[in-house]
Amino acid sequence: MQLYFFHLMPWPHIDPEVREKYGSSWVVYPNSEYDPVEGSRLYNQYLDQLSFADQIGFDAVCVNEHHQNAYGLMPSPNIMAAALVSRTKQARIAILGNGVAMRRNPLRVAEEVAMLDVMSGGRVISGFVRGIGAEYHSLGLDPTTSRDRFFEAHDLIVKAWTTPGPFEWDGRFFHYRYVNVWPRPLTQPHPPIFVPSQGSDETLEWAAQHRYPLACTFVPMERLKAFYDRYRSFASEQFGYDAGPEQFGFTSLIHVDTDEKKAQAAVEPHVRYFIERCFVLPLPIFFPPGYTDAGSYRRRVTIAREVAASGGPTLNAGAPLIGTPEQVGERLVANLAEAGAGTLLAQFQVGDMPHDKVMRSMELFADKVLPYLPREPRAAGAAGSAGISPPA
Amino acid sequence: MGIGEHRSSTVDVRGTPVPIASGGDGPPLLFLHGEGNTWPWRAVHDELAHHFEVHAPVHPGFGGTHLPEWVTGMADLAYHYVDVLDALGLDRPVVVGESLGGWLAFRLAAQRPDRVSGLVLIGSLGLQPATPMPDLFIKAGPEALGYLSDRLDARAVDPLQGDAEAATDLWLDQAAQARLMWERPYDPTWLRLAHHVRAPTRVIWGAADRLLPPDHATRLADVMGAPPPTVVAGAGHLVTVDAPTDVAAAVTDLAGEIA
Repeated sequence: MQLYFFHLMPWPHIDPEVREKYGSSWVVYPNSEYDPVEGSRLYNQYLDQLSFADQIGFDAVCVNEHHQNAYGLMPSPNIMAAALVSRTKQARIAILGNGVAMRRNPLRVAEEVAMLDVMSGGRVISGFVRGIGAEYHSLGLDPTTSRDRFFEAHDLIVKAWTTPGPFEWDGRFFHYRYVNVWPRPLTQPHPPIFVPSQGSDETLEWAAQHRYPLACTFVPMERLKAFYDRYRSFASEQFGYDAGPEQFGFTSLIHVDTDEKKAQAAVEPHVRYFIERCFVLPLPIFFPPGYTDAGSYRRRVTIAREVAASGGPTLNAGAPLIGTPEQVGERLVANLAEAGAGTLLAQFQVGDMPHDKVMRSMELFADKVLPYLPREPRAAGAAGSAGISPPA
Repeated sequence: MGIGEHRSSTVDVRGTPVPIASGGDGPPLLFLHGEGNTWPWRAVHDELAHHFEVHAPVHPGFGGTHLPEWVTGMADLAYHYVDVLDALGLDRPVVVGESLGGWLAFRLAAQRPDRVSGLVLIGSLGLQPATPMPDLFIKAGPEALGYLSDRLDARAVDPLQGDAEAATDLWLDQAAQARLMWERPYDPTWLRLAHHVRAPTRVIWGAADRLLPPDHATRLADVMGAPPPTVVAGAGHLVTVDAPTDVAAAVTDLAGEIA
């Protein structure tokens, strides 16, 4: 089992009436609601949580990319990854992911991820995403070409990492007379690629074709299993191999306390905050016109109706990982087995959960759960060292 | 063919299948539709068919058709319509365009002034407005349609509570529209291109247009060297939906001038 520490870095002071007053906590939620002094304090706390995850033995710490919103304050995941290079020693840094379809110049991603890989001693995991629909509103980018831009940007970046330059790139969206990135990545042939996904058929098929590990977040167990079964059948029927658990991630909220009722009570207001204030994403913002094909949009409408009926997205597929250390440990192993997933993406901070509460739960998890999980020893980066050293 | 009748066919235009509804007798007229699922044959086409041989094609990507890769902006679609005219054997029709179809009609008349005998811009997008238009892409289907006309069935296109198929159809039309105007909802070259248009031009507007208020029509008519706009009382953005008879009268008036 691989253990990743997942974080969104949310803004914890969203207006309780965000839905009524602004319609969304994305794109149009005014940035006058952001307080940079408080933001500075928060970034440091959130980074402390990520570096603590490294200290207690997580295999990777995760950053991600979202724009112009209060849900996740990492518009540039590579800046956050750079901050983690010197704050972590052993954990890999999983960028989940760079929104390569959103880049007018995707070669910049090839450069930055190579820099991070070299600086970290080969500890980078390079996730690629299209970016959710909201990003296309925020960045003024045509959503109808997003998937094709994603595929081309991916092909360009991987080729830039693996083919000696300079060479010419002549694609539908991007043209470069000289592709010749300095530095090249330390990890050979290139940093491992990971695909966070919302489960569209096109992405499942593409990831299965490239044998990239994939994770769907915030979906109930039944839908998660259906998505992963779909990936597995693409793998076996079209691409001639059996996809193993190492190719699937399982994302879940985790909270550990001395008894289950206490744990549930501790988490409940922050989950409610997440659903009612962070995840305020009306369908036209989440799925702008042309962001997927017609079939995927029809399925999305069905899902949106289900989510609306059930009162919000699912933060813990399967049995909730909220309880005593014993409960969390047992359920965690069972959930991963049910999903057929080999990587746990554990989210300890949710919504407006304060730093102390996160740290206490992480400490308990480190003492009472983590040592008993079926895990391999942590792998060193490609350089066999930690790259740039953390401060003593 | 009698009044009110029309025929539907799919014409192969250099590899792109184009559904076209045609009907009526008289001088040829090309009708370029706007947004809001307004592409089928409607009352306005019947009205126009009293005086014209009306051809109403569906833009690529609209009406459930495939959105081709070659569509990257209005200039591509304008050249597509030169090919449509060739496929239909139309030399110099009157070109009537509504909303985004107006923008397209302008591009056709500016890029190929030899192929357009008269130009009618109805609630046309394209000329940069003095204040930005509301962004309909970020609004839910029913609210977006509300900006276009009160006569469209807005409740049906609510993806959460309405008819999922109708909502998906509208979403696909919006996708085709997004390809044309998501990244810039007007044509920055309009003022520089306007003098290329040689066809006599008319501007028709809804007095109650919520997307682009009627003073925009006055500016547009001025830019185009056209007479003051025909502003139709009680009509919203889609004048052909709200007041088809007024539209037909204004277009017929222009045809008299050309003939």
